[in-house]
Order: sequence, then structure tokens, then C-alpha cells
Amino acid sequence: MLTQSDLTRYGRQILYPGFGQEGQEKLKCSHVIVAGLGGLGTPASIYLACAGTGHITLVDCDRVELSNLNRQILHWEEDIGEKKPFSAARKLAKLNPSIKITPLFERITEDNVRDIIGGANVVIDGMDNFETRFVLNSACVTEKIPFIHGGIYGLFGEVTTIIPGKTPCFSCIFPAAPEKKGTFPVFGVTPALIAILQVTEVIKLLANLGNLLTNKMLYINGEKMEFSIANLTKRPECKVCGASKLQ
Amino acid sequence: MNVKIHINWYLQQFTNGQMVVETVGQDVGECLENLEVQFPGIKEELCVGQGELDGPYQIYIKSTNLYTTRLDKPVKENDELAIQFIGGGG
Repeated sequence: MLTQSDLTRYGRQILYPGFGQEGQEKLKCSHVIVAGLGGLGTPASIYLACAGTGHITLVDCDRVELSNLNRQILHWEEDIGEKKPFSAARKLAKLNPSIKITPLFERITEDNVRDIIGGANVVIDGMDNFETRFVLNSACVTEKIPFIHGGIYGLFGEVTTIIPGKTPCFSCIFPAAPEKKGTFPVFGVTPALIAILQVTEVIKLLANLGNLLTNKMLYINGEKMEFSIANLTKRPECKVCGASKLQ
Repeated sequence: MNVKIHINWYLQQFTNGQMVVETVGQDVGECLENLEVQFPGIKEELCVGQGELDGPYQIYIKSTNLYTTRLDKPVKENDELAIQFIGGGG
């Protein structure tokens, strides 16, 4: 049930055709996991909070470092050394005190992932590595929770919305982690752009609004300011969601 | 088969900045072999192990995802392939 304060705070989005009070109530009743509170996760959690997502769980196992501050906009210089979920939760609570925020200072592993995401409506991929994405994806497929993938490199990025059972899962699209690794370059604007697209997908998904970025990968080339979409199909031999796994 | 390959921004360092190159081959793997002849070093960047695509790369044929385990996928005359680079960062 929306309060008078909710109607005022979210009034401009409630005006949107097809969203309305019903859409706002759905957001209010939703639980979204933000996995990773770096360049993707911090802007994503800001817009989730502003939009009135009822419950946001913030998960990260790192502490704030000076080198994070060009892009991880919920962490400030005064927060260096602090646990990222608590640094983020403190500001989000001020931004929107009417929502529930749960900070979790934990490394996501195969052992705890289902406890972390169980019962959530959506998981936002704010990770900076493939290994944890594989763990999250596998749990999301098992728990049938939508997983909104985002990734970046420099001025480039990509987004896709994964709906278990209906779209290719992360492991369909990426059968293996890259072997060539290292510190990647990044401008703050790139994860911000990708994160906002991820949250746009979350809002539409939760409110049953518009068309989702399902079965498609949106590639963004910020250097040339080109956006392109490629079609994705399920991989029957996928070890996570392939034919033998979901029957 | 004659095909066009759209080269992602990261691999353009091997193609002298060319965004689209032409090559030949019966399947995707053969096209990559010939691409290496034209632009030495590109296959080393693209592939690992026994010639599998490395994780951050994806190949599309006519904008439909061809998964990395299927480099033996045949190509048709005048097909257009695209190699995309995935940003794994966050």
C-alpha cells in the first residue's frame, strides 16, 4: 500500500502510462540484490533506491580504496578503508529512508549464494570477475531469479537480461572465463551508463512494463557512441541450463 | 566462401584500424586462420588452448550468436561475421 509520502515522492514516475500506482506498489514489494558495489553496483543501487525499490540487499567483500573513487560514486574519500556495503548503505538510507537496505559484507561463493539471493525478485550483476558471475548465474537459474548482466571495459560495455528457462543463461553466452586477465581500464561514466540500463530493465521487469533486453546483447561503444544489438540463443549443451538441467 | 568480418575496437590494433575486413574460409575457424595470415597476431589474441576462443570474445554470424564451441560452423558466401569483445569489469 502506497503512503501519501510515496505518492508524492514517486509521483512523476507514477504518471508514466502503464506504470501508475500499481507499478509503484510492485516496486515497493520487491527485493533486489545488488551483487558487487563497484562501478556498476553503486549507481545501480542509487537508482533502485530513488525509484522506491522496497528492499535492496547490497553484497560485496571489499573495502573502499582510493583507486575506486573515479567510478564508485557511493564511496567517498572519507570512506576509504570502510566495508563497501556499509559505506553504500549509509548514503542510500539518507537518500531514501523509506526503503529497507541490507548490507552484506561477504564474498559470494557456491556455499552461500543461495542463502544470499533466495527469495529475491531480481539480481543485478555488479561483479568485476567472471568466476563470481558464474556462481550467481547458476544460483539464479536454480532459484529461477532474473539476472541482469552488465560488464564494462574502458568506454565499452554490454547488457543483457537473463530470465531462467526463457533466455540463454550467462553460461550459455560465456562458456568459460577469459584466460587473459589483468587490471582493466575504466572511466566512471561507462559503468554508470550500463548500471542505469540494468536498473531500467529491473524496473520494467518488476512492473511488467515494455520490452526487456532478453535474448539480446546490447553492446555500447562509448568511443564512437555506437549502440548495437546482437541476438542470443540458448546453448543446448550448456552445463547450467541446458536441456538436461531444466527438465 | 568470401566473408566480411566486423572487427571490434580492441582487435583493430591488429588490422591497422580497419573496422571491416574481408577473408575466405569454409567455416568460422578457417576464416580465423586466414585472418591470422592477413593480420599476424590476431589469432593469438583471440584464441587460447587448442584454438578455442578466449572468454571475452564472441563471434556472430549475421548478428546471431555463434557460441565459442562451434568454430566449425560453416559460413556461406557473403556472410558477415562480427567479433565482439566482452567487458568483464564492473
